[in-house]
Amino acid sequence: MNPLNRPLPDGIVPAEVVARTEKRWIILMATMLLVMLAIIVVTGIVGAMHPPSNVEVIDPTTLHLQGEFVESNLGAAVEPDRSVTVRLIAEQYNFVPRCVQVPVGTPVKFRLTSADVVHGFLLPNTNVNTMVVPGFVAEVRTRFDDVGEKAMPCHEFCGPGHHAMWAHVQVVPKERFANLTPFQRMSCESY
Amino acid sequence: MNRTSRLAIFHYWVAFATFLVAVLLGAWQMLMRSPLPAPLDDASLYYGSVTLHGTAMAYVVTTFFTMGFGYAVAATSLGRPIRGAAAAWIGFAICLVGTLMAVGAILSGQASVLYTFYPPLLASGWYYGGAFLLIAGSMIWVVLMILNLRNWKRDNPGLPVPLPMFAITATAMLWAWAASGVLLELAGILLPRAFGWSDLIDAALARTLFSVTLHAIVYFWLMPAYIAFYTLVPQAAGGRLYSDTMGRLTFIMFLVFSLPVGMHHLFMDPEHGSGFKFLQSALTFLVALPTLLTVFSICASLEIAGRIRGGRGLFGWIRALPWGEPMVLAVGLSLVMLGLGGFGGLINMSYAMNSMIHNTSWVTAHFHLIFGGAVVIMYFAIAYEMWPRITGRPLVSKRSARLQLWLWFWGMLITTVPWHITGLMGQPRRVATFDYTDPLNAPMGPLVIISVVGGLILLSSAILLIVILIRSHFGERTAGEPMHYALAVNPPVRVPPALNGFGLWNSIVLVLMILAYGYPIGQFFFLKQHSVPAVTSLPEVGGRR
Amino acid sequence: MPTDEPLMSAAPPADGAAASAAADAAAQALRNGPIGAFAVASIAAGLLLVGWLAFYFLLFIPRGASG
Repeated sequence: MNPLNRPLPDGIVPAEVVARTEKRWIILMATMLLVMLAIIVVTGIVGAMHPPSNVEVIDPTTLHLQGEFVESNLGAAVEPDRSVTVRLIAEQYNFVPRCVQVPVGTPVKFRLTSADVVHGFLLPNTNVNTMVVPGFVAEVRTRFDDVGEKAMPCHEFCGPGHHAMWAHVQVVPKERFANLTPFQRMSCESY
Repeated sequence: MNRTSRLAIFHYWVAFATFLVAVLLGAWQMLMRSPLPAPLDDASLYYGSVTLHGTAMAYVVTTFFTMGFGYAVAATSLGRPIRGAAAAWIGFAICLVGTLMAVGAILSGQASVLYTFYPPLLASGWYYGGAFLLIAGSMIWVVLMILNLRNWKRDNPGLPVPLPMFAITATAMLWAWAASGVLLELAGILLPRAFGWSDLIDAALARTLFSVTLHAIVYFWLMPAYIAFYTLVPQAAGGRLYSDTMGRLTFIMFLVFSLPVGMHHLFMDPEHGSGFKFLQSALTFLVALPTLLTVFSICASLEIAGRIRGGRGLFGWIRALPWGEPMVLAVGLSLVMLGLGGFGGLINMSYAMNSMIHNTSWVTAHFHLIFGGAVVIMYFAIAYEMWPRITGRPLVSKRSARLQLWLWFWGMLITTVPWHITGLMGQPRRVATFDYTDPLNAPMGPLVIISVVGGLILLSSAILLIVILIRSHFGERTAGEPMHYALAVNPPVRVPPALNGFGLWNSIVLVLMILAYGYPIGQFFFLKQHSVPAVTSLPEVGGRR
Repeated sequence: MPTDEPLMSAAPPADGAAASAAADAAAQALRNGPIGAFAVASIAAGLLLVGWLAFYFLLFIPRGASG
């Protein structure tokens, strides 16, 4: 660093000007942040946009023996109100079932739990994203507006096989879904 | 300064040596996960490398650098050697032992759990013990910063604490608060389980405790860079700091608002409800404020320097700045990366919008850009300032220093911009290899290859940094220049006690932490049984213990 | 290896009169505050806001329901 050949004089900007300009900037920035926060609040309330927030406890060591996540109850199930609930187990290094078919244009609720470690659940190009923590049931709701196939990677490090943990979701027309048996919904033709 | 100089330089060398190795690992990791062939093509090696890279960058480089910087700042800004040098050396030794333990555990393949630990994955107790020693050992530094501040104030009653010392003490206090989460997690959950004293792991509690650390730690990393912004940059540019008061307020705001926001790392977690997630999202908007204020204050300080040098008009002062000075170049590049990386942060913290990018490579891009980019480039600039003063030898070449900084800047942009895009495309993070022949993944391939090019540029920049520092260690001795910190436009004669000490602010931190984390942590002690068996990270053993 | 001095020095003009003239000119330009800094910082903050709004309404909301 070169030393100044001549020190600058004090008060090159008067103290009142410094204080006034800083205060003005604080107000401007605080306003900007408040606007963003307000948008989040409004869309959160009006559009029901929230991160997945259902807190529910479950025993990971007995998933296969009793309760909601026994093997025969996994996959896509139709509710009385015609919405669909998809139940999945995440484990090293698989989702069970590995592929699920769901109908387009229908409210879908994913319920997942882990049999061992923390996994993640992501449907790219959607807002379906949740952590799957053993001991808890993760629930995330959405609705698919287009048919097609979606990859379903585990997005949280879960051990040395993490990179192999990919599953798929197939969004199919409503009529086709209605004609599938629960067992058929748990597999996808090309897999 | 001599005793303190040696202390500082030992810390710096541990930091930068670790840094070089960690960058090398990062470059290899980028090859692994790309469509390009990589040597040692083994997924287990990848996860061990990610653990080592993360542990090194997040815990070792940063802690040692900041401790060294803190000792140097304390001595130079207060104008006297630090008190407690013996304790400082003991702290250094403890941190070094902890580092070696942790690194050894990772290299032996027994700790591939990433620097975030991810219980109920379970690593070797040596890893947790090493991390504990490193972090707990740095608390000696925290105490020394506070004691040196208190001693100076007692010897100089009524005087304003020099801003650099005020800021580094705020940094130390923040680190103590931040570290409490991970230390509790290690001592209360992971170490007991690793030694077999408990059967189950409360993963949800562990994650929540860790989240206390996980965001606040990035402000611990960031504050040395901001100290450089406020106290070194205006001087290097030949100007003055626009507002000393704003400097104090910035560091106070970081101390207060960095902590009760950690749950924005848990937005997608099922063990917390939307109420507290929203509260911590709103608080995170508050911690964005000091950065936005800093941008204005530092631009104002630079404008003064530029106008003194003849810059005219609305933007002429920019060109007039002494861009040949590494510190000035660094702040310019840093502010660009801060803007881009900060943008990513705004997206991440916006409550439900987090679901668009959580755990995709967008997140990896964000923190490499803002931490690896904006913050670490200032670490380099600080090193270029410190080396001549500590070694008594001039920086070997300002031109090389500028080249190194430019390489880091472009390398970081080329690395992170593609990652932002693949993240939006849904590429998950922490994945060793991808099947790029799968049509759902194929579009990401070219972007990942571009980022590999960026990674190689970063590696060359890191090597150049070490070369410059080593050569600057052995140049010709010249008369030492004392450290000059920036003067404020209106130097403070007296500051209110609230801006000269931390009693009030620490109390506010406590209240905010109880409000923001009281229920989220407390609930686990009343929630029905939710602890789970541990799962070891060893591939051969697998399954449960 | 001789240190290469930067082409520009961080020091203001060495001559006493020129130095105070430079300081006066700067003080005059800054009498209402740092308008240049205000311009740069406003542009940056404006870009952040516009970018955030674009992401929120053009990327996030169209991706569908969440929670």
